[in-house]
Amino acid sequence: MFDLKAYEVLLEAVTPIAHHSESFGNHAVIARRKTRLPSGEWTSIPAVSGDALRHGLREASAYAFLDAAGMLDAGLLTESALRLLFSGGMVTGRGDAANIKLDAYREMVDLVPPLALLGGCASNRVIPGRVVCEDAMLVCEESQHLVPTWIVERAGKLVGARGHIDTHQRVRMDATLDPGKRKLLSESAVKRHEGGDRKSEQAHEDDDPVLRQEAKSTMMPRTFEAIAAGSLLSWRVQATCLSALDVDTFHSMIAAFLSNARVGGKRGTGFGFVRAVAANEVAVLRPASAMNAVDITTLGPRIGELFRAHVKERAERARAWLTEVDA
Amino acid sequence: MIPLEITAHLRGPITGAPMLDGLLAFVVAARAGLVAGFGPLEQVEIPIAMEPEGRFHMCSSPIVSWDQRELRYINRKFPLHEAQLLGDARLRRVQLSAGATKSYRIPGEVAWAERDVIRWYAIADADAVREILLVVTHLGKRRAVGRGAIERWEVEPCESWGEGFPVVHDGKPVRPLPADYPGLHEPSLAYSTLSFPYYQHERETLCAVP
Repeated sequence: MFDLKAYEVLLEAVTPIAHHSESFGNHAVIARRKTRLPSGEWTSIPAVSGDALRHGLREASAYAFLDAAGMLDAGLLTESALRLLFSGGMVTGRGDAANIKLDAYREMVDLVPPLALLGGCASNRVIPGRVVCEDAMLVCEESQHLVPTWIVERAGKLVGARGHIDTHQRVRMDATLDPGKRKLLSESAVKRHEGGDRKSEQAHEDDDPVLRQEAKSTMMPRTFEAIAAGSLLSWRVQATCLSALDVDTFHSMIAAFLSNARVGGKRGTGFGFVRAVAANEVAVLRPASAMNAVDITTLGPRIGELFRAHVKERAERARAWLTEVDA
Repeated sequence: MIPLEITAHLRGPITGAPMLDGLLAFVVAARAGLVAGFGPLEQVEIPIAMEPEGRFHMCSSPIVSWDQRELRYINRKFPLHEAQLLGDARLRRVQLSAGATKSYRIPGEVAWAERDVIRWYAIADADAVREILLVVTHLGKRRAVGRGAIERWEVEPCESWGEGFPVVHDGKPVRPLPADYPGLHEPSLAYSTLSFPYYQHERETLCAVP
């Protein structure tokens, strides 16, 4: 079997997405992708990086694996096993780099099937993966030439990328500025803060910027960009599958990820929740126009049987292997 | 085997364009269940003509001009949340600033090909090359996160440019060649691998290079 399974997925931001590339001072900017327009001009379009989404797939498949192996509630993983399952491992430099056995590789992907698709590092060698997870590109005026036609049609009226970006402000409060909370301070802390207040008043009277800086409160306002809720994103994910188990593992990881997909930061306050609205299976080995609509949102209950049975059958061996793995 | 012009039409940026023979060999090896770097090196047959002495295949290096570049970053941090949830009792300390669990942010460049096109020339079997390239959807490094996405492939017969096709043009090498290869005129020399797998740098020899 050598089958290329590819899906184009239309994602919707249920809550704003705060997937940032960097910050300037107290302002965080959303990740964007430099893009060539049909006119030859260049622009930047907000996107969720393929790295972030691929990590989401890896994390979801790791949890699905641990669940199927009965290891989710046990707290048994070593540092190496955690790194391998959730970050793809690392080349540790230990072991003999000149002696790589193919049967050791086969045992590893047999015990932990997601590693066959996502790849990683174990012992002294990088294991190539077979999943390609592209950036999820904002569906907007500027990206319509890159996004599949069916997604553009489904999206309806398109506006410019700037229209999808919102700026949020948050403030870390200084609890000592609240008289009610101040009553909770110890005697020595009250004295220290009263001294600070006097220093601040003095700095204001003397217009002394150095003293003002020293005495200022710890309140910190900050701003960040986010892709507005309701925005649509176009995502493509594919895998080269060499067995029925690969196909089922691939479907399991997509279903597990999309069942509660979160991307970007600020998740603690609900940001980054996305859901799959529609998907098309792309038949790569036939003409590109041949696509079959699939209900990717309901893949979950119907798939994963082969994956779970395979992992369950090898759970003891997988557990033993994970305690010894060097990754 | 006939002269061919092979064109990849990209739909985005790419990090490094591969050698055509290496690309075809990668697909053939994958179909045979071989995994790069594991097990002894096995002979892989590809539908490109070999040069008479059997040192390399008759295909050019990728021919491309880059017109825009961008710096991107790879971020990685240890799964701290999962360590708290799932780590065993012996996992007592995680150091994020040094050692095996260190976080990092590594810069890397992507580039856009002029007119989104990369081209190769080869003496090869057109149908067989087409059939192999059908499953190549991404090129270059970091394909796993969608870089080097291919819009479509074109594999068309072409006119040979004459003497040296497709490896020497106007006395200059169009791929790494043995320094004494006939038809070369004052070529640049550098250490390079003559044939796939190109990641085996220990096989590098002094070559005439493009």
